[in-house]
Amino acid sequence: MMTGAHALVESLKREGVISIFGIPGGAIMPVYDVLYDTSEIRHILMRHEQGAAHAADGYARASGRPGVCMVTSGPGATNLITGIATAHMDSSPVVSIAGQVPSSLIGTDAFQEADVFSLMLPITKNNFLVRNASEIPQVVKSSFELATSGRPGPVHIDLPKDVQTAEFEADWPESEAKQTDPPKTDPNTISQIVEMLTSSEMPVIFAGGGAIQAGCSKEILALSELLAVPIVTTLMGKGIVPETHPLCLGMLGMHGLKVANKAVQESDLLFGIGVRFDDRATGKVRQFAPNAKVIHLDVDPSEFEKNVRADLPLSSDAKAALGMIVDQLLAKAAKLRKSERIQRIERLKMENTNDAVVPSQPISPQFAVKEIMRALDEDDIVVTEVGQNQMWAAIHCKISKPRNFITSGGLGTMGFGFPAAMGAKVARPDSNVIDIAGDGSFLMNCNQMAAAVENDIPVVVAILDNHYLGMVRQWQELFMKKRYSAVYLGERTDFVKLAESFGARGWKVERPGELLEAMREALKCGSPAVVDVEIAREANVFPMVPPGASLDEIVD
Amino acid sequence: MMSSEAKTRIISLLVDDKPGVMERVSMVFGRRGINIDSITVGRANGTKARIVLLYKLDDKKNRHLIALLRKIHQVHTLDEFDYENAVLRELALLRVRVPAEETKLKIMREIDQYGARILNVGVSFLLLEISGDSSRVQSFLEKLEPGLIVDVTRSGLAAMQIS
Repeated sequence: MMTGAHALVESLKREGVISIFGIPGGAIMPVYDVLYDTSEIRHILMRHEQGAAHAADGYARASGRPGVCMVTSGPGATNLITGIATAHMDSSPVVSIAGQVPSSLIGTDAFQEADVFSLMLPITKNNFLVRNASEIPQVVKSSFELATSGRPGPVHIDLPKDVQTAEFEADWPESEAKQTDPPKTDPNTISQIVEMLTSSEMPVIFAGGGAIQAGCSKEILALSELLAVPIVTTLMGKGIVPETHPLCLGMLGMHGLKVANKAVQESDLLFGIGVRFDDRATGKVRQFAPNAKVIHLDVDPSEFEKNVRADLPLSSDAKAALGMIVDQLLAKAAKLRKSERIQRIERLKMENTNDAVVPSQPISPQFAVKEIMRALDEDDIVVTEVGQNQMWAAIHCKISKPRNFITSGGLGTMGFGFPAAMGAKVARPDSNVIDIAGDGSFLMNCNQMAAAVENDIPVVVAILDNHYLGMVRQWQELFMKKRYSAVYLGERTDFVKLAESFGARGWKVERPGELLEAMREALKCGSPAVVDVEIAREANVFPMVPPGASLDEIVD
Repeated sequence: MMSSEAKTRIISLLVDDKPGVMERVSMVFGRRGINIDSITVGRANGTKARIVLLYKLDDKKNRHLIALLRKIHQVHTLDEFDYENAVLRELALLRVRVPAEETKLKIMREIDQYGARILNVGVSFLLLEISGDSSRVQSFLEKLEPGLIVDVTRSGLAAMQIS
């Protein structure tokens, strides 16, 4: 006989869980009592449940393994909502577990009761309200399978307190092959894609977060090199191939690189891989890639033709499908016409060069990001907050490997970066992890600095400090006649003292020449740290495609 | 050729017979502002339930909706019914005033003609039952004098593909 709480922890161990981000409370105490004796699982005590969800999400994105967070009922669970919605929008495999009031009290407005099952419905792949302890082993198993299979996403488990304490004879489900096999790929469709890729004049590969989830870097690069097909990525696809590769044109979209946007607009064939044609990537949909036929490869068929037409949709695991495409191409290598395409790519690059970034006083954000990157190596992880900081990082960080650029793309959650960076560091302790932040975003979850210090998670926050909610200010400047409504954050917040008050380290940087050294010291110091960089206050993110405009209307 | 005009759709889902499943299914409609014209739920074989939904939607949006419904973990099968090739049945229960003597014969004739049944005869009210496809039920309701009907309960559609 064992209790539901024991069964939960045993199930988590069987799923290979070694880290949980959480905060206990009344309705989850039986589980925490079991965790007290469980040395195989490291529990990281967070300081707010939103951060626990982001940390689990960051853990999942950095490692590809599901991240786990655990909270109590009511406010504990409702505090998760933003974090789970963030994971849902970016298809990140998070398993969240919340206590719930005892079964007999559900629906009575009991103390710390919330209808978490309903609240979680639209922001999870699936969720469970466990009614009997005997269901726990199967529910946990299904949750991890669902979170990681097909298109990944969050799964929530609600666990009433009486279910945690109920005793039962545990029966462990067999560890069998995954129930949901990836859809089979029709070889004729593959031949059709190969034909389209070889016969088009200017094909472009357009890779997104789904490509990173599918782990198909090798296949994309092979395809690109075989046919000289340039690669553009979404924000979520950054790092799928090294961004320094001559065939990688970088990120497209509202703040994408000019060369990437031009390549898409000029293309006659667009091969979307694990993308959902988000409005921030496509600009005005009707004028997106106007001359291109569109191939859309995605594991989730509900993405086909949701936003953009697809001349050839293919629902498949991207790695498998691309492997088949590459194999077919290798068999007919002779007919490939690469030189014209390479010329076109070179011309595009020549016509769309970026200005060189030079040190200036006050420090320009472009220069700041480049200096920050100089302190890192290619295995290190860049996490961002949301807003100008995120776009400057996206434009100026050259990422070499998948899972090394972590950002809240879909939901755009300010405050995501710091706790997500903590999760990434727990998942990959041998990599440096930095959070490129804005002063506005960082303050939203800076309380987690306490958790980072006390749990010895040395991440470095580089604040691009402009004393504004900068992206909103930029839009007010450009579209609202500089009427800066409610965006000025003031002068008196002292981020160095804030860091020190938590027992972390802090550096203040006001001159361009000091930044690299401060970053290196912060990364070396071994404790969580903040590097507060005073940047030009009214610097804007460019290039920019104005909202509602086509990618052709990009402004430098 | 794709049509952007809203067409009547009937789909039938076999789902887990568990709490929360209806919520998950109806959420897909509600979030996208799609009105459900009729929804019928009942226990099917084993531990499953059958949901039959009637709604109007254009081709493109419908393809997206169907793909989203198929993604729901608790949805095991989803059949799109061809309106022409399906049996559709609806049940209506009516409470009507006992008609005045001069119209009684006419009413009785309608009841007879539509195969409706009288379930209960009271002092002031009759309880009637009619089943058939929706247009038949609708037509019967319209045949009765407007002031006659006090209350109607319509079941929503039960549907099955003929072949």
